[in-house]
Amino acid sequence: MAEKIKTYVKERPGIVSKIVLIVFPFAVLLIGLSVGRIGIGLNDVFAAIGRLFSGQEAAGMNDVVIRSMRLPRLLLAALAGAGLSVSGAIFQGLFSNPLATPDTLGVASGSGFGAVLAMLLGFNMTGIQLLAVAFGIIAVMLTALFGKAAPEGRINMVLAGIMVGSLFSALISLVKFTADTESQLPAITYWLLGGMDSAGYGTLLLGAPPIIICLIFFFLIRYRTNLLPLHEDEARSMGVNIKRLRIVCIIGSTMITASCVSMCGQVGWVGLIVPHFCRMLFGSNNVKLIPASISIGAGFMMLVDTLARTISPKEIPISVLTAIIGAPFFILMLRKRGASTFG
Amino acid sequence: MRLTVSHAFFSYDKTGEPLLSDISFDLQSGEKLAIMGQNGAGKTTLLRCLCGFLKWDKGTATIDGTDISSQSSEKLFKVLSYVPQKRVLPPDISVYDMILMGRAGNIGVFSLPGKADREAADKVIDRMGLGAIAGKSCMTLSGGQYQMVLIARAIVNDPKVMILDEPEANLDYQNQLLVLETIDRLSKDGITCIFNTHFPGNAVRWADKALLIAMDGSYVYDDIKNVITEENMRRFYGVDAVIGTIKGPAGEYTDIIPIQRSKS
Repeated sequence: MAEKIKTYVKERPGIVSKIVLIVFPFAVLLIGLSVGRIGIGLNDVFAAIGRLFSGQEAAGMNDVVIRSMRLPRLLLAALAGAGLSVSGAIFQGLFSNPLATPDTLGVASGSGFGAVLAMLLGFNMTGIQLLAVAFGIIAVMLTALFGKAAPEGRINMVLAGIMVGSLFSALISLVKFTADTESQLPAITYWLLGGMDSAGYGTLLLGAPPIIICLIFFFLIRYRTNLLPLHEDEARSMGVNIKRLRIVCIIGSTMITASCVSMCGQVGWVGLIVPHFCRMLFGSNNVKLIPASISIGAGFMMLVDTLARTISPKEIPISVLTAIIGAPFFILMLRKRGASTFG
Repeated sequence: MRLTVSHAFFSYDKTGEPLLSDISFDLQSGEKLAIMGQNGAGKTTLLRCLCGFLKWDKGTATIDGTDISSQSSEKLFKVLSYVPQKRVLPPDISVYDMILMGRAGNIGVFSLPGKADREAADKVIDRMGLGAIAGKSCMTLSGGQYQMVLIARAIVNDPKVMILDEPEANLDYQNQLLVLETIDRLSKDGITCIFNTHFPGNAVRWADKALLIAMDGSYVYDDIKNVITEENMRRFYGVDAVIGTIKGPAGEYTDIIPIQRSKS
């Protein structure tokens, strides 16, 4: 029997791809630690990491740069990349729509509004996160509600998402309008630009746990998430409580998005590009798609962030770079999938 | 195995007239029941009630004496299986993975499919002769092939009853026959098959019994030959039709030709 399975299904990813998937993010991490205004040789990077993990004091400039600047920043980029990619993959399943992402569903804008509102009200980081999650969930609920008005209307889901997104963008503008121009407005505007440069271990300590917990959760239930795109009756006939699964997945992917947004602002398009790129390589089975999205998402984001701070003397906002890559990719997807997808 | 529906009522609008009224029928292992009626008569509703997706207002449906609505879906769908109407765009996953998905209820939330699950999927692929397409993406299949995959997924748990929602809709002649012959073969293996159809000709050729529902909630249920009559076509479909037999190389075949909409 075991041999027969091999003839029926080609194993993707194979062992080589698996190794590449594991090595890729770590390789990018090393490059990211090494490259920058101050170039640090790989040997020195390894030595610095060794000292860090053995609990030794920072020895010299290189250690300080790696410990207090590059490492937290790269860790944040890796978490945001992996998180947004996985939540994109989950949203695409939930709405059985290849164009569903935290951005197109309005979740990112909703979370952004929650975060900005919290800043206006003078909340601390925990408060910012909580409000970001709350408004992210409100946004996705609104999108689902409006999009459902026309049954099976997939284009409607994306249109509803754009509508909800612009509603929350307008609310963000309203918050900026009301904010104190001396103290609050600069902070809000700076934060809205998005970026990894705000990264410190303090931010990570608060924002990372929800992302890591949800990523582990989605990794563990990755087989079950294959049922998300099925019609409700179809999923129930597998003997599975699909409603519960959907609710848990909506909360999980919204929590990831909201945590990312509250740490590094609205970094768009990652949730679209990475899952689709992984689908092209490994197929649509979430057993492979989720781990691949974690690895490639983390590596991609660290790479983009490293580019953002190295290609020009002045740092380019990361959302600009992801949009430059993402927009053409979105159009390519539209052309490739054709109109039928939006039936 | 015995499936019994007795005095079952259902309505979406709980204050109005019931859509399905006093439905009773009884099926044995391996029987094929065609459910027919005009659009909106309640065919799909009846199937959804049988699967426990909707609850009867009154009456019961039992399999071997156990009430369907009292069972957890995990238990129920080991005995009963459901083949949904095929959707416009099948998901982009392999045929093998799609069939394996039929085992999802047996696979723990945090688990991956195990050896037993893979063997069950393998067995069904052999049984249905789907080996050649097992590695393909469902997106690349023809309508008939995809319907076969959905049927394969439904029988991966060895059900006793299979419920199919318009299995041969939107298929060309050859693919219709592919699906209907499969249903016939599975029923000969002892699986009771219930399907709804818009084609009285297919029903008369492939089903043992028929349940014909009128728009007012009344229905007839009997052996297929007694249900597909010119009078019933007029009463239930508002269509004048002729029913006749045609001699073929391997015997006589009954078919039905709709002539015109009834005058009255």
